[in-house]
Amino acid sequence: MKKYILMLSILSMTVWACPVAADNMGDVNINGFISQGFLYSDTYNYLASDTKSGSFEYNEAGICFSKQLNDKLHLGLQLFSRDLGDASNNKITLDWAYADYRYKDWLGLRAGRIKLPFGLYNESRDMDMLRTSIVLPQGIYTDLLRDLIIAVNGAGVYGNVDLSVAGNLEYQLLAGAMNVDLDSGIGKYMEVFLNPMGASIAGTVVNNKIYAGALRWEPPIVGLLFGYSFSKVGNLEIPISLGSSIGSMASSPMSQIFSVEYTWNNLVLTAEYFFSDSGDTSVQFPFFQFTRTVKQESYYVSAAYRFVDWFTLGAYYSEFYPDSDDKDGDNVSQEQYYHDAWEKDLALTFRFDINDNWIFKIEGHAVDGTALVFRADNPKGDEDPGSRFYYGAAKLTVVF
Amino acid sequence: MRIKKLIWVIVFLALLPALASAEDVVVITNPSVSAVALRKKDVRNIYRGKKTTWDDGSKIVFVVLKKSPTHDRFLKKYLGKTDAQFDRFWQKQVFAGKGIPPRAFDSDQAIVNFVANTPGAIGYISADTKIANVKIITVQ
Repeated sequence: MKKYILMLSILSMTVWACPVAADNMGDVNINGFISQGFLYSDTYNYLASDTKSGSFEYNEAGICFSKQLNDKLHLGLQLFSRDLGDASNNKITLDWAYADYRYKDWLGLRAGRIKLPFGLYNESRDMDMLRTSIVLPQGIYTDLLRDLIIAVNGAGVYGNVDLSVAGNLEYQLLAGAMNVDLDSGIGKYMEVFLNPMGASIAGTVVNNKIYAGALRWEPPIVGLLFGYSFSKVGNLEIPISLGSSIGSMASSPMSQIFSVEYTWNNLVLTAEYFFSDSGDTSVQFPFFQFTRTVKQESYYVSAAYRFVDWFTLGAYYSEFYPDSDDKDGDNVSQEQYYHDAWEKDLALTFRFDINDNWIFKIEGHAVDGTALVFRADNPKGDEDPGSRFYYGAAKLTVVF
Repeated sequence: MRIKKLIWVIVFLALLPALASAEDVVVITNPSVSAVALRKKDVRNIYRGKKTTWDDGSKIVFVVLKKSPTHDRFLKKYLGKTDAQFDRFWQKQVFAGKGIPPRAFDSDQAIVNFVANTPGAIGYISADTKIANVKIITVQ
């Protein structure tokens, strides 16, 4: 809480210094945003730990500083804080910070902590004002994994290639390492895979390599965009405990997303397909070891229409399967319900742009399947509460 | 027959705003810019920060008008975007550390003055704006 207040203080001072819009102090551009949300659910606690009673533990705040040093060199950094139930708890983090040298339009170099271009929304997932929905489709943009996949510490190349009559091709390639902070929600997410084995995380998670890339092709049809992105984790080592035994789990997952977006006047249509393969995930203990491969799959389709300047209506439908070889829950463990094998989410959002700086949204979700309902927040009882549940979210955002 | 004529008049009147909007935004550059014509795609790439240098290697300085009918017409005609979509595009660039949004001016005349005095500058104005020391660019 103290950290959140500190972050708000920094933002408040900046807002005071620039009451109308982004500030510019000696050619240093300063921009920021603050979002405060509320979550409420009926049958299960979802996203945060106590949403059945309603939870305000759902916020984000960020402030970024950037400066164009010369025609080719750009520097910037962003401080970020968020709360999602018992995850993150408003710890202030260095969200991104990098130097960008643009040699030519088709070739630039970035080094530092760089945002991961994964799907259409990973880079902008914290900026509530940039999209219609409050909660992104969780099968692809899982909020508990946000801190793990938001940025990479490393270097990369990028550029925009003019394909003449074939349109534009934008590319980005990155290599580096991820920050793995178990308090940021990653630990909770990993329980989904460890709990069925009766295991839990027993130490610091190590990752020293990740490779990622993204292609975005804009064909000559204005408003149409095709995207492809991938990330390959070189080696993720997780110390785990099983009873009194200490062992380890090692994995090198590869994830891919295919995206398409079409914008026509005030209508935006989007669809994305996600596929992830854990590769051979080996679990090793002193007395036994085994190898398992898990393939995840998710997709969504969405539409948003801006009726007037101040009102946009949006909707999406998404499906997620944590094990794409078991979409019906035939092979779930005894610790799970059969409906933990999927999540099907229908969402409807009302967005109100109060003015250029203030946005209010309200959203409802009808969900079938509990693949992303975490046991830590919903201990398994004798009776199955069922596969269907509803949750809602509201959020107020200010951007400057 | 009268009904036919009436329909033609209605169609003409309906198309009039579109015909007018196609004519009343012009793209201007500083006289130092060697290009005499640009592709629509070039304008789109310049205003999304994807094309940052002219063909001779000099830096492109692109500027915009603040909210106005001319601004809306320019965005729709050359970028296929609404004002809100354009703003969000640049907010995304800013918060991902990928760029700094273009400088925005209150009036067409302010754009003319800035472009006239800034080497490599490009802007757009309403066609009836008085111009001096800038070059009108043909966009194909």
